Amino acid sequence: MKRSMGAKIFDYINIIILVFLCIVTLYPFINVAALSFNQGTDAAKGGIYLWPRKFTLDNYKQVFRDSQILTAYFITIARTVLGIITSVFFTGLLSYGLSKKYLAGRKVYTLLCVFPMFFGGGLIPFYLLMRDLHLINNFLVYILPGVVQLFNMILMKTFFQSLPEELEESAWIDGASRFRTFISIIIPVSMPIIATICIFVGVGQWNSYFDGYMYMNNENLYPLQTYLYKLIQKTVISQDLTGMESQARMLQNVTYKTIVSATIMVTTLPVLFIYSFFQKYFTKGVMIGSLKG
Amino acid sequence: MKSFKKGLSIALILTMLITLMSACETASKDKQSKGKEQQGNSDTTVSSSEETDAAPKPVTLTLMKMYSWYSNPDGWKWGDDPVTKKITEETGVTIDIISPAGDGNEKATMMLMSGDYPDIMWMDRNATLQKYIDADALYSIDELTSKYNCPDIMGNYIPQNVIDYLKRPDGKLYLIPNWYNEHGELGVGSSIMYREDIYKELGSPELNTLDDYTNFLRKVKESNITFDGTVVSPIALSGSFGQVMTMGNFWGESIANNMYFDEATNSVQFAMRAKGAYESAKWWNTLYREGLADPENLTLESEQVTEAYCKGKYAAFIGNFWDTNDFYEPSLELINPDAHYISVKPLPAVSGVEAKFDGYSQVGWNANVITKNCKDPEAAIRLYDYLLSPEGQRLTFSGVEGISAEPVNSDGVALLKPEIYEAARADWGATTAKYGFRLLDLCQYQKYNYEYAIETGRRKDNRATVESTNWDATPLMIMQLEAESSEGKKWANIQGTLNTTGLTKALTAKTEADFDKEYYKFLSDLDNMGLKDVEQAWTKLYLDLMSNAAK
Repeated sequence: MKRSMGAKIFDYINIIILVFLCIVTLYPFINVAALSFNQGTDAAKGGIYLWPRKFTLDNYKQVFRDSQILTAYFITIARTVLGIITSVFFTGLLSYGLSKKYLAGRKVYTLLCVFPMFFGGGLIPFYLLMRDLHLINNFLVYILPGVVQLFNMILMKTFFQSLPEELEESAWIDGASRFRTFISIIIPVSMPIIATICIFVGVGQWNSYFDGYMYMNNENLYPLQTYLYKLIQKTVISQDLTGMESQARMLQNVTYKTIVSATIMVTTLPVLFIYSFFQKYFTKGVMIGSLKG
Repeated sequence: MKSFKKGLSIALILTMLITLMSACETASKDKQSKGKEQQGNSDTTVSSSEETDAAPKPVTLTLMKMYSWYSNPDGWKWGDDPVTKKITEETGVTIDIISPAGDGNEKATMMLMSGDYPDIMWMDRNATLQKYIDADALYSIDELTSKYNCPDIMGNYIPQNVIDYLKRPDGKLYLIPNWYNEHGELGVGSSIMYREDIYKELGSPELNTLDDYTNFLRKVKESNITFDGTVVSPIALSGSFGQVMTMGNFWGESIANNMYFDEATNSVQFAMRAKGAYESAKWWNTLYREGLADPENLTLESEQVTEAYCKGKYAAFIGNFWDTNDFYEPSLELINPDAHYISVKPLPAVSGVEAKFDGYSQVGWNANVITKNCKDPEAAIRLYDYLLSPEGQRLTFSGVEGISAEPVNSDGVALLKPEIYEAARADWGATTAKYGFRLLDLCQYQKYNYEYAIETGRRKDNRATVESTNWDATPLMIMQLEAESSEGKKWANIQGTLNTTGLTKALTAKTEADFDKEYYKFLSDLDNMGLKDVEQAWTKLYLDLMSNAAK
């Protein structure tokens, strides 16, 4: 069918705007990558845009020479994997229960879940709670408080409500218990929402910095983002220190700017790769909540 | 069925509420019993130490360095290096050093609220420290030293004048200072500087007065010099309010920390009221109007400012000399090995005046405090008794003699061995972790610092120039208003305005008349924000401080 002039113009303008947005989105990332591979003293002069002027791997060597970063990586991977498994399982259990209209006290439970989404006790009461539960300096502080996330619960509840009851009834007829039905029937058909929740929880766990800062004093339990924040702070302060340490840093030919750039690459790339695998589920999952009431 | 469901719902709600209430009560009982247990422990500790005065008993104390930038060297733990091993041999104390990952003050406040603070803290002397003192969370050092017989700490290891400045109105000292000094050694950096390559190219003009310096800047502008393709500007327009005010000292003032003591009125005044500060701001405005001071600097982020200096954009610099030596020159010297900055003494702006720049503070930078959660306060004070002693100071500065340190010289300082010094310059972290020197930096007395002896070349010369006009500004530098007081809040608001707007409008005024108008309007705006109340509070603090120090 022949397209009208107006439609063609609209397409061209659309393409121009989208290409512009693409450049604006990609350029900072490319710039950071270029800086991360450039010598520090040379980068200090500026003028690095799309590729390094004086290539070096020194910045990455500086970031990775600290074996603590591997520990931080391990902690982050552990909390991400455990966080996803526990969050999906327990949120799923809660959502499945709340999706049943015949559940006694359902409205009360739902209200109890929704109310804290709007009102919280604040940071200090939460810290006191973590302390009293012996979760300060404890790896479980990364897992237990986030086991059930109420927004995810609402998404899953909505999804479960859309599933036909006949699926469960066929399992009950065959003698399956509620729990067995949930594990063997409901979870396999709920892959889109589970993948979505996995991404939400996984990205949240990977990027989390505040809980490591607030509830951990033991550096061996810092997650990646928290530890890298410290690394950047350490690099920044050495610009302010007089004496031998700042001179030593300049001899190593790295600067705050290039260290930060290498750090950003180290923390961002894994999430980028993983997201590209889960993208189709994420796209489906985002629409789930909007389609069903 | 319906009534059954309703009943069940009510029962569930009641069960949850009862569980919640009983959990709160359990938590509060736990806290009380924990407090009593700690009290019991410390009483036990005191009585057992009184019974036996023999070899130090081993104890592990937790020390939290309240700075996000601090972390222990990679793979290091206490006792791995000769220094920490020696400290444990002498005192019996092993220290578990930890630090927060984010804002130290926020973390310290959180810990104070929850009562969950460590044995020892290493923190800034600021409002957070005051909160700990006001909450009775800290032991006073004089009480611990007299109780556990450590007489050398007060007045000998820590000079009496430093103690006098740091003690509270109740007469007690609650902290052990760090980087304290006698004459501002190694702590002051502000300098007026010029690029040597450009200076020579322009015929090495005289630089004895501020007018000479201004003429040098004019010559730079007229000459149109370039450096690696960049046109060199004379100087960047100063965006730092504090620096502009402190330059009032070139007119004979004694301004520090944005304030000065006015002897005529016997009061502490805000710096802008000093004639010298006005003249300094006017000088910068003159530079701006003549096109000598680059105003683009005011709109740049600090990273962009560094970039500009590293490109060689400016022929002159006013700021900390170590910024040029450590951060700008390595990039400049890639283009021209002679492109570096040289310090000059503060230049008198009027004849007959002795110009100076920054003042120093004798009490150093931050502080060590022993908290009332400390499981063994006797061990803690004995630890500091050792660290503050001459032996402890030399150990923490230079390491063990024969391993990393040379024998003590005639100045009482132990230098680093040359090969250790070179290794430290190549890899600071690994070398200090291996040999233990400068690893702790807890309570350093500059008297034992070897850096004077080992600094060489331009850095040494620049430092000597800067320190030649050092002056003691300790009372002005250490004054701090209570953050929660009305004056404290007013000052916090005023500081916010100084940091954002500052004197920009006055410095970039197009005429002298406009400058005067903007300068005094800004001062009037600050008065409307409560500046006079702040000055009254400062005056009271200052006079109390001087009276305490005199006791």
